Amino acid sequence: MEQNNIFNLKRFQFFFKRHLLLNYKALLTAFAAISGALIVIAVLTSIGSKAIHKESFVVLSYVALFLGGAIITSLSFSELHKPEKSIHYLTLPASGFEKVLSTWLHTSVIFLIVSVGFFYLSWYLASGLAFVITGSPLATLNLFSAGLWKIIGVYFIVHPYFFLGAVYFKGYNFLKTLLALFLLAVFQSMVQSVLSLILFGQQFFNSMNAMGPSFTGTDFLENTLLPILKILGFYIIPVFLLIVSYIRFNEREV
Amino acid sequence: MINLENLVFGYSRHYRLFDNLSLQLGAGNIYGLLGKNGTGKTTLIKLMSGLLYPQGGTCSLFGNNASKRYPTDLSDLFIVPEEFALPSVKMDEFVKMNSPFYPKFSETGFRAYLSDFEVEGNKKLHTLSFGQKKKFLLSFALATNTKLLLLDEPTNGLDIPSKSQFRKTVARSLTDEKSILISTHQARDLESLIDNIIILDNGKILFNQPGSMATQKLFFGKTKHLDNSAQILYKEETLGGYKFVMPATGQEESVLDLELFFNAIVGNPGAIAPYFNN
Repeated sequence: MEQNNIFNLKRFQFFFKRHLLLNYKALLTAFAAISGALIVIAVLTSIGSKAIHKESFVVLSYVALFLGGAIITSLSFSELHKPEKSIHYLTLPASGFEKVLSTWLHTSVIFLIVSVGFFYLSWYLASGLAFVITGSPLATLNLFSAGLWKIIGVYFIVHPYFFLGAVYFKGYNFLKTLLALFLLAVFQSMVQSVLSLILFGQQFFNSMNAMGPSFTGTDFLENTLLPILKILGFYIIPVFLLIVSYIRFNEREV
Repeated sequence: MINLENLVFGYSRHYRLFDNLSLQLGAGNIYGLLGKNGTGKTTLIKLMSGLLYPQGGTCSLFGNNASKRYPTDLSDLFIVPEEFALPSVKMDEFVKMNSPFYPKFSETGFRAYLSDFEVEGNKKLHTLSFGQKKKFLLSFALATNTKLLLLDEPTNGLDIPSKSQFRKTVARSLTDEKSILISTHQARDLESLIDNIIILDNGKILFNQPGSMATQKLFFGKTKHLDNSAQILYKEETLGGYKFVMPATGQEESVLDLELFFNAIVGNPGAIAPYFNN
């Protein structure tokens, strides 16, 4: 039977497995290092108060999730950018879609699942250690009641920016993506200011001054502009960035 | 297998490496792609395999546009680049993660090729020397049994016995369905292996014919003193004499000296080309 050149489940499984086998050791080492740091911090902070600080552990875990995710995603196409590896990588018989999809799954879904697992493991190890060392009471953790779903949602919005950076830039992907995001934010705020001036006139800028007259375009902002921006930022732009990443991947030459 | 038609390619807008280059590769041959450094041998291999996109003309691989990099086509193509990096995994792990992509991969064949090259055990790939890595990758490439094998400077980094073994192993692996293209600037290493010679210079194919044609039309000889009355097309001074190329008389067929032939064509194309223009 003629194989599909865009997506073939068996071929995708081969590529997914290859990706996993090539990267799991580095990923586990990174997770172990992050977990170690979380445990040490949690135990050390429990010494004075004789109680492990759940809130600070959760905040640190989420920071690690975003920072780790951004770095790992930025490095995810390293085979594509290293000249001595890219020939084999690009001529490996899997489609561009399969290669991009596999990398996306590893750096988003798989990364999130493994991260959450490691956070729970770190928490219970830290809790046990704190119990032994400082006599802190054993405590349970429920990340899902601590805003995990929201964090996952934000991760899926932020992830495509670093994913595109991983495909687009040929080196220093993480730093270059950060720089690009910074420049994008500056550009966006400039466009936003100009648009606001055009739409609402001087009134909008005056409203920024507490002494000035109050801004009367609030209804338009809340009822029309904000929902549009939400849909754009939460759904349309992330999907658009993933599509651009796929196109860019297929255009890649060595 | 490969069909390049009026191919145009350059790394900058002002300089075209290839301008209207056409070339066809069929099955059952070992092609030797010869050229000086920087003539575009590696670039040509990349264009053939869809790693670079032509700026003009067409490049088809198994009848499809090579730039599309269709997995069904790629599963019948393997490239051994001149410079490569292998992952930090054991030999068996490499095979386990890459061989499923090649439906005709032969584990038995792979073991036999490794044994031919005297690469033993199941070592971590990053601990191997460059030569051993190359032998490992060549063994894997041959074991994939792909229709087309593109080897870029395959003998670079191989020791003398390994070069000899390489020639034997490659010759043994060839079947009527397969083709192998070997790019090299070391003509001597491979003269007994290649049956079709492609000579590339200044973005043009100067010669693309079976090696046997060269010995039919030309005579390759060695002498202590050159006879001035003889029609010498090309000569090179060697230790204690000269190597020369002259038109074949039809009485005696000489042995092809690939390096001399290459130097003759590149050094004096105007004198050699008329003998091969049909």
